[in-house]
Amino acid sequence: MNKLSITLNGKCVEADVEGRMSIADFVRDHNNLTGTHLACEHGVCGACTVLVDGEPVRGCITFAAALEGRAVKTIEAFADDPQMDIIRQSFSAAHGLQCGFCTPGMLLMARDIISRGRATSPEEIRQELSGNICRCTGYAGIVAAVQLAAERLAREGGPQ
Amino acid sequence: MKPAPLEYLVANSAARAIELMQSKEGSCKYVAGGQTLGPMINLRLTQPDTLVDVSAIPEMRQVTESAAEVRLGAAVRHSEIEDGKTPDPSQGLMIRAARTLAYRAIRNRGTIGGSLAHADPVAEWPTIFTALDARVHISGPSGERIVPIGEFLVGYLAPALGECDIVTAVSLSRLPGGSRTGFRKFCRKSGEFAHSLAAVVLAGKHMSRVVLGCAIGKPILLPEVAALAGAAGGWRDGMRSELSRAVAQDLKAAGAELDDYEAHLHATIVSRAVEETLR
Repeated sequence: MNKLSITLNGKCVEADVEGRMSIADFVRDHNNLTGTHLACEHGVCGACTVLVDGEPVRGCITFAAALEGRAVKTIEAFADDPQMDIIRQSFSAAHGLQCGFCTPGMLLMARDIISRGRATSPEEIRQELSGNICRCTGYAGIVAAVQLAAERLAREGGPQ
Repeated sequence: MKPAPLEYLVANSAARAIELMQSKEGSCKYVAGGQTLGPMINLRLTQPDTLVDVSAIPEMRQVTESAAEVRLGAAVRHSEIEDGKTPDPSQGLMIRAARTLAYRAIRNRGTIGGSLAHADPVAEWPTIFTALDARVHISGPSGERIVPIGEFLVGYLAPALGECDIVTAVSLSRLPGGSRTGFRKFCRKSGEFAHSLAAVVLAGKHMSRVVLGCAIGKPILLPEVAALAGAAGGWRDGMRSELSRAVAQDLKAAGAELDDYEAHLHATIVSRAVEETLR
């Protein structure tokens, strides 16, 4: 067992974790943060995306024990985030989801892509989102949603 | 799937990591970003008893530079290169390669040292660092050594590393002003490993290198192509067929056995990389 102490969605969390436990399992099973979804569990689909020190990572192939002292944020941390609110509205307006399973990962990646200034064209959005898989929408709606959100955020103030 | 049970240890120095590696019974592996090893462990294709995390070792996070060279700690992450947070000795070549390496979430964890130690020839760094003639710093039970990249990469997934050796840094000479570089890769899906990738470095009298990365072995130096590209002042019509012949000649000399599709693919990717370098 590893002693783990991290900041999770702004709160200090301490726990004993098995060496093999991923951060995705840790947030879901130990902290009931079930917005982080697990699908492929080998780093391909992006549904398990969480932020470590503000940067998106694959939750399923990031060991919890590797994150001692780090700040982890899940989709739940963005419930009252004004930028994420605009991104969520854009996903709704542009039909950026159907079943919603990939959506937490898509939203976190979308926010990251926009904040890095990498959502300047549909082609660039497709390239940047290529690490997140959706099996419902065929991506057209998602790409349109990210583009819409990027345009709105450029007018109304981008993610901090 | 979930990994089989394992012990996860975090090392705070390379010496401590080597000590842990030597002292552990059973299978033991170093892990940095874990972006290749992680999936293998989740799929239980490999089941190490112990992982020794080297990603936070201060000396391996260190970046130093002089007028002549840049030394990047092995635990520098791909995204740090992409974002220009590390000095660039390659006049943009490394930043370009980093931008389309896997996906941003992978680049935020994966490290250059991990990529080199895995020595997958269809990953970016083995080919890019061969084109830049990098030197690999290694620590092991018998001390430290510096190995030229051409000797470090032995074959497909085969680095010149002993069981307890660890890649600690990569040194790169700064390309002289006026050098030209090019990079092309082909893959069917954005972010997947390349079917073919080519890097070109034309640094005048200093060095002309064209390197092909593909799944048949270590990255392949293409000296005929490099000579042709180095001698040409710029791109000219008809050069593509000359380059294709030179690629075929170099690959034959390297002993590469390719089917028609592979031969055509590699000739095309190398030619495009040279073309964008010369244009």
